Amino acid sequence: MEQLIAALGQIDYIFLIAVALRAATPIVFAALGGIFSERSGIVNIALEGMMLTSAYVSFRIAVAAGSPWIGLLGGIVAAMLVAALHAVVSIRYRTNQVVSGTVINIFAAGITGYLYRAFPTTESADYLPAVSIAGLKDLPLVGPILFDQGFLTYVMVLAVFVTWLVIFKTKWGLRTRAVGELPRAADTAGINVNRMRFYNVLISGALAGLGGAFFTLQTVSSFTPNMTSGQGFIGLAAMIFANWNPISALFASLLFTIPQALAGQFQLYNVPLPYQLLSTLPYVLTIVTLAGFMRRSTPPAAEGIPYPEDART
Amino acid sequence: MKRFSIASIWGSAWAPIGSVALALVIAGIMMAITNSNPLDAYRALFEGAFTRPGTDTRPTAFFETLVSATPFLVLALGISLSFAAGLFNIGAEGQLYMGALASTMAGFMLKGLPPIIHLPLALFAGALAGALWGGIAGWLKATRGAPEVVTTIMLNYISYSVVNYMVNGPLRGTGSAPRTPDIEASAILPALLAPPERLHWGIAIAIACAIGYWVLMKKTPLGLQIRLVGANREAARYSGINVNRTYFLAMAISGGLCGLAGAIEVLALYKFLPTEFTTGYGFDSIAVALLGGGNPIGIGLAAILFGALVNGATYMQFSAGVSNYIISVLQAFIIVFVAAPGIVRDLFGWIRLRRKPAETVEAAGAKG
Repeated sequence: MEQLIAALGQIDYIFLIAVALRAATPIVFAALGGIFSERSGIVNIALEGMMLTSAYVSFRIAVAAGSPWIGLLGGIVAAMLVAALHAVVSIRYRTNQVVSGTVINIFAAGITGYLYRAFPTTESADYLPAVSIAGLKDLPLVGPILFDQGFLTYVMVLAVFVTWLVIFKTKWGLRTRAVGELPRAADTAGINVNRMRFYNVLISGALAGLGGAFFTLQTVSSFTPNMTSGQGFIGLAAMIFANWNPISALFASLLFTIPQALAGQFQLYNVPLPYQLLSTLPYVLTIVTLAGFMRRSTPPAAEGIPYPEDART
Repeated sequence: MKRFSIASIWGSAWAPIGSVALALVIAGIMMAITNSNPLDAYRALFEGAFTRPGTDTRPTAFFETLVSATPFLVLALGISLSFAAGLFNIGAEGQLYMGALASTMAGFMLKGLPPIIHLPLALFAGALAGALWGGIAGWLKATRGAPEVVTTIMLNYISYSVVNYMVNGPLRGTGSAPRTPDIEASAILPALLAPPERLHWGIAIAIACAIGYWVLMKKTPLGLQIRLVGANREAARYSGINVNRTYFLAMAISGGLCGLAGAIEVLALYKFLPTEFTTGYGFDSIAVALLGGGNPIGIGLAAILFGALVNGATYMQFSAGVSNYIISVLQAFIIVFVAAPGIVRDLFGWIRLRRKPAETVEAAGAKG
C-alpha cells in the first residue's frame, strides 16, 4: 500500500497519457474502421486480419522501396484488398459475416506468417517521421501529449474528427447510416444498399491499413508473426463501448490503453499490484455496456443481415 | 433434365471433401509460386501426420495426430452446439483456458484422494468452469440481448489475464519459471500406451462426448429445442419454447465442452499449468466445427484432418523446409469454400463459361 502511494506520487502522468495515446493509435484506427463498416450494416471482425496484413505488406514494401511512405501506401492498399474480400464474401455470397471475418483472420495470420518465413529478411524499415512541433511541444501539460508524437498518431486524431464529420454531417454518412439501419427504406429512396456497404467496408480496410502500418513503420520497424496481437478486437470493443461514435471511440480506446500504461509504471516502481487484473477492466466494462447495465448500446439495426440484390421486386 | 455438374455436387455431402481438395490445390500453387515444391511438402505432411513410425524417443505419427485431434474434437462439438442454437461461440479459447485453470487447481490443491474420485472431480471442475464462462455469455444474451460474438471475445481476453495472474501470483509454484505446482498423480489422465507415445484416455472421453452430442441433439427434448431455436427463433417462441432458457443452456453446454477440452489438455499432457499453454486451438476449432457440418461423425473426421495438419506441419517444416504457417492458409481456404459455396460455383462456372457457354446457365441457375 505504501509502495502504491509512493508510486502514485512518482508517476509522470503527462508521460503516461502520451504513452497511452500512442498505444491507442492502432486501436482507434480499428474502431473507426469498425464504425464505417458496421454503420453500413456489415459486421467486421476481420479488422485484426486487415491490420496484420497491412503490418506485413507495409514493412515489406517500405524495405523494398526504401521509403516508409510507399510502404504506408502499400499497407493501406493491401488492407483494402482484404476488406474487398470480406465485402465480396459477405455481400455477394451472403456468407455469415462473423464466419467471413474469422476466415480472414486465420488467412491473414497464415499468409503473413508463411511469407515471413518463406522470404526471410534481416533488413528493417525506416520509420515514418516523428513529428514534434517546435514551440508547442514545450507547452505545459498538453505539449508532450499532443505535439510530440509519431506521424500516424496525428493521422489518427485527424481521422477521428474526419470520421465524425463524414458519418454525421455528410450525405455519404446519412446514406451509410440509412443502409445500416433501414436498408429497405434506403433502397426505396434510390440508394444502392450493397454498393454503399461495399465502399464502407473498403474505407474500413483503409483505416485498418493505417492501423497496421503503425506496428511496422512507427513502433518496431520489422515484422513478427501475429504482431497485432488482438488490437483489432480491442478496437471493436472500443467501438461498441463508444456506441459507434468516433469521438467517444478515441476516449474508449484510451480507457483500454491507460491501464496498460499504468501497469507498466507500477512494474517500474515495484508496486505489488495484480496488473493483469487491472488490464481486464476495459473488457469487463465493455461487457457491462453491451448488457446495458450502464447505458444501453444500440448497434445499427440491420447489422449482420445480408441485403438481397432483388429485395425490391 | 438436370445434368451432372460440379455445381450440383457442391450442394451435397461432397462439399467438405471438395473444399479440402481445392484448398490443397490452391495452397500448392502458392507454395510453387514461393519456390517450394508442393509435392514434397504434401508428402512430408502426410508422412508426419500418418505414416512416420515411432522410435524409442519419438512417438508414432498417427498417434500424435490423434493427440492433436482430441482437443479439436471436443472444442468443435462445443462450438457446433452453439451453432445449432443459432449462436456463435467464439469464446472457445477462453472457456478452454478457464477449464484448464479449474482442473489444475482441483488437480494439485486436493491431496490424498483416490484416482477414481480425484480424476473425475478434476475433469468436472474444468467442464464446470467452462460452462460458467460460456454461461455468462449465454445469460447476457438471453436476459440483456448482449451479442454473444462480442461478449465471448471479451471473455477470452479476461480469461487470458485471469490465468496469467493466477499462474504468476497466487498459484505460482516454487520453481523459477512461472507455473503452477505439478498436478497430483491421482488426477492425471493416464496414457494409453507406454512412452514415448503420448496417446491418452482423452481420446476416449472425446469420442464419448461425440456420442453424447448425438444423443443430446437427436434424442432429447433439449436437443430438439436447441435445433428449433436455431432454425427459427420466432417460430420456436410461438410453439412455446423458452428461447432464453435454451440460449443459456446451449452456451453453458458449449462452454462446458470447451472447458473439458482444456481440462483434458492439462490433466493428460501438461500435468501443470504454464502461463501460456495453448495457442489457437479454440479459434481453429471454429473451422473444424464449420467443416464438420454439425454432425458428430463429420466433426470427428474434421478434427482428425486438423489434428493431422497441425501434427504433420512440424515434420513438413523440418523435412521439406516449408513453413508450418501454410497450414493456416490451407485451413482458411477450406472454411471459405465450405462457408461460401457460391464462390466455388462461380469459380467453376467461370471456367465453364470459357469452355462451353451452354452449360453456365445451369451453374448460374443452381446458385442461391
